[in-house]
Amino acid sequence: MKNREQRDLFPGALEMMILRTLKRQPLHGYALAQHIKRTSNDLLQIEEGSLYPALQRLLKEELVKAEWSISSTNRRVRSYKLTAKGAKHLEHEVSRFEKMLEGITRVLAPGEL
Amino acid sequence: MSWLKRLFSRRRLYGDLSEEIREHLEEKVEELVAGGMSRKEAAHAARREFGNVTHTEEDGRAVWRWAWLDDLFMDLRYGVRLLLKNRSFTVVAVSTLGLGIAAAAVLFSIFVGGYIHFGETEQANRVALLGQRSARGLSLLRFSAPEYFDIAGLQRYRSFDGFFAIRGLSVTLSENLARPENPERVQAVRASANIFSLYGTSPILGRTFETEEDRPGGPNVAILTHGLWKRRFGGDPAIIGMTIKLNDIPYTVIGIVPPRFKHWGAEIYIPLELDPASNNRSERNLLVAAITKKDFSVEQIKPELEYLAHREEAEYGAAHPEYAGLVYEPVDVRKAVLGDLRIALYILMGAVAMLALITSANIAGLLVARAIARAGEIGTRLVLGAMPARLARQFLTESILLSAIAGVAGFVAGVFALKPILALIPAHYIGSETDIHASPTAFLVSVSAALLIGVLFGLAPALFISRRGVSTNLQQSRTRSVTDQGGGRIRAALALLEMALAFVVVMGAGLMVRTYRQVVSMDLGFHPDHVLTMRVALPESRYSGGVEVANFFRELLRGVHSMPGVIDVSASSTRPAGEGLALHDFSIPGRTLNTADGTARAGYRIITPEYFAVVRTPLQRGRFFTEQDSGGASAVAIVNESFEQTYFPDSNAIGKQIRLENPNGTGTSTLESPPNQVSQIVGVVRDSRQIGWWQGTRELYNSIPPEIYVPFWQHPEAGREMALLLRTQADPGNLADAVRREVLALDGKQPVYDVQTLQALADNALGPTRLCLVILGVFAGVALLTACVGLYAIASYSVTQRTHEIGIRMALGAKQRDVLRLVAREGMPVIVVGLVAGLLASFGLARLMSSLLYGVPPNDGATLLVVSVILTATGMLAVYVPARRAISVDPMEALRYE
Repeated sequence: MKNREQRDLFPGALEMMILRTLKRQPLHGYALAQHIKRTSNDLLQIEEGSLYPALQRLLKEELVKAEWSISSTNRRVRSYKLTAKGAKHLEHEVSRFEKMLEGITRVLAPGEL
Repeated sequence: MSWLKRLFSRRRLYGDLSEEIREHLEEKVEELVAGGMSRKEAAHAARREFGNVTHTEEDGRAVWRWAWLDDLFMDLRYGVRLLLKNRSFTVVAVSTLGLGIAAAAVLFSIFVGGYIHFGETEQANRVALLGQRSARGLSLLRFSAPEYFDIAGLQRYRSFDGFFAIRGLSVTLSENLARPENPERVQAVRASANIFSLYGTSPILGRTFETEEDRPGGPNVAILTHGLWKRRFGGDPAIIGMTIKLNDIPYTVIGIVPPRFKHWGAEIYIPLELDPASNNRSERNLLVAAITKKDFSVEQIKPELEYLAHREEAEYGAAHPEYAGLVYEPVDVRKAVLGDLRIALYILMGAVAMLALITSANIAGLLVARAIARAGEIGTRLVLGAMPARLARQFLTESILLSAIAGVAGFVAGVFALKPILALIPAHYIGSETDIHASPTAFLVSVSAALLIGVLFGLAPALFISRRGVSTNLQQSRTRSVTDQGGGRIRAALALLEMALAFVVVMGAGLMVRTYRQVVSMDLGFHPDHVLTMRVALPESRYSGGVEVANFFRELLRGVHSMPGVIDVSASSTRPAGEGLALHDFSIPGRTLNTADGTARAGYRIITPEYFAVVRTPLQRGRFFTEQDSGGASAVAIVNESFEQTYFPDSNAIGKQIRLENPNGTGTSTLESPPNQVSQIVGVVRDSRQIGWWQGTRELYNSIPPEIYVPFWQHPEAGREMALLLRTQADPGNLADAVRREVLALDGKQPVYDVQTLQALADNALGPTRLCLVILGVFAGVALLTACVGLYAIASYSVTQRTHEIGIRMALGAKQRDVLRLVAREGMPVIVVGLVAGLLASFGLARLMSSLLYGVPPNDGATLLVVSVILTATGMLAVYVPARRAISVDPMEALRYE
């Protein structure tokens, strides 16, 4: 119930992608969703809505901060920005992820069996 | 602090989230519309891609929540709403549970206050009174001053904190204060100075005795108990240093002791003033008691007492033959004072536990039934994705809420019920030395018991529900003819348990009823109805000799006898109830009794001739005393049948002689101990039983001991303290003031005290029996009722569930009798198995109760039969009522039910 978005992803993947995206530039929710979809070439089946609980979690952990502003298309948007703490967290998570990925890759590598 | 800020800014956070999501959807729609989609299609697509908006919002909010606390509040709110909605369920559940808790709290308070905290200080629980065991039995007032100093004078003890000595006496209190009051008879205790430090008590005002004050010829100082100080002196602190008079001798008040320091019946303490140099070992009139060391049981102190007795025997045995084979035996004062009440309290605590079990079982049954009634709701919630654990938690919250309400209600009820219930217990048991109030411990225990019950029985339906699948729950809400096997079994088991427990409690009550009837109808040998009694004690200062004492009573009896409404009046040294009978040594001239020193001991009562007429003890042979049996005439005595059978088993006692031995030996004869005297037996009366509150029910089985009656006119000097007994035509209580006036008319300084009807004194002796009877009776009623509710619930539930089926059966030609049988089949096995289980369990109870029973065997067949009939009948009634309803089902309606 709590982690509906993680049915297709491993725990923390969505948060990591959000943080990575926000590292480049502050974005609001919709833009963030579009960016993640576009960059993953629609490979990841993410409900756009699932972004928001993840964002709330990041807000609570103070890894991102949010601010209401007016966008270039003249809409009232709430844009998210990475905090220093968030940047550090991202670094840590990415290195952890890479190690994990390396492990998985080795196990899955052909010829070893 | 950020969590606090968050707690208050949550509303804003939630608002932001909702707005953000709305903006997101709008932006999406606009983009799609820009891409050429119609607005309606775009809105659909946007929602599809977004997912479930409500879930998203909920999940987003959940991040910020204290999920646990929020859920709890939600469950509580829901629970309260449900309880308010199902008022009848709430009332039944809260009142049955509350009743059990109230009963538990009351009994626990009595137990804690009366037994665990017996005295003001913890030391009061460790007092052991020393008795001397001889061939004649255990006697307490047998210590001489040198013997006390021998025992108490050691430097160290293995098992004792120390010893103290006391002697009780009643004195006439008067004072020369500004506001003179009537002289009053009060109970004084002469105590060795160390009693206060041994008990660990400090005075609330003034000081206690100095060691120098406790010596022969020491100053006349007195310490008042809190009760006397409040009652007579209005709690005036200026009393310290003032002078009061005890038997017209001035005493200076030096201190006030705390309310609960009222040991040995004392209202005033004065120094014992023993002479350490004394070697008078024949004046034996002291009580000696020890405070045992912590954690030493009465059994564990025996070896050291044995050593002390041996020492005494070795040193003085040669000069004092009575020390031969000397044995000191400890008496646990707390146990002795509480007597049967202790066992009664255990039994009643057991009854409370039973009642608690029954009510719990019933509550559990109610909760399960309600859970089933809510099957539809639960099924729906499961379908909508509620987790079983979450549902179980909600049930748990509801039942804990219920039991918490019951716990508080029960405790409040218990606090209010404490006083009336305490009034049922005779004052002697818990009287002066204890302080009983609704204890905080009782509160804690009862409320936590309630919560425990809540948890246990909240879990039952919770488990039940979560074990069942979604479809069963949903189905249940739609059809009414589904027989639900699991729930039925649980409820049948619970009702069975209730039946069995109710059987045990009703059995207990039944045995108490039988005992009470036996005890009440027991032939006491006297008739306590319509007799008023009071005590008069003549001081030595104004009534110096036997002649003055005899004249006073002669005048008084004549005056009282001429009062209207008085049938007969007499004086007696001891009343037949509420007092211990004095014992007197005697021998039979020309015969050697089969004892160590050739004398024996029997009950001894000094009476005026009308005594037997007043208490209605019939004469068996010979004659009563007459006015002619006076000082000048030859000495006579009357004995009871038991005496005759014991000492003259083969012949008639009439005309035989007995010699009354001076208790202090043949040497000195004082006013209180007349010289040896040979008396001729002139009459034999029926045995009459001396009863008192200190007796256990067990002792009623003992045969009545031998007793000697002597005429007051021949023993007036021994009768300074006499009881007046008058048989009246109407309510004896009405005459109390008139008699008091009669006494004051004879002597204006003479107090009358302890005015009581003989009936009240006799009833007091039955205190614990009555208490057990009343409380067990109430519990039995409640248990029976509760068990019936349980049975009724089962039968009625199954009828409701099978309405449809019954309709079909009746439409197909089933007779009313068949339907009745069908329904009875649900209830009867429960009743029968419950009865058998209860029967077995009640054997255990009966063994426990046997010391409280009189004239009834613990497995009394008649009681078992009656109890079985009562339970079967009430059980059948509980099944019959819903069965009636089943018969009256209209087939058409039943079939249309769906």
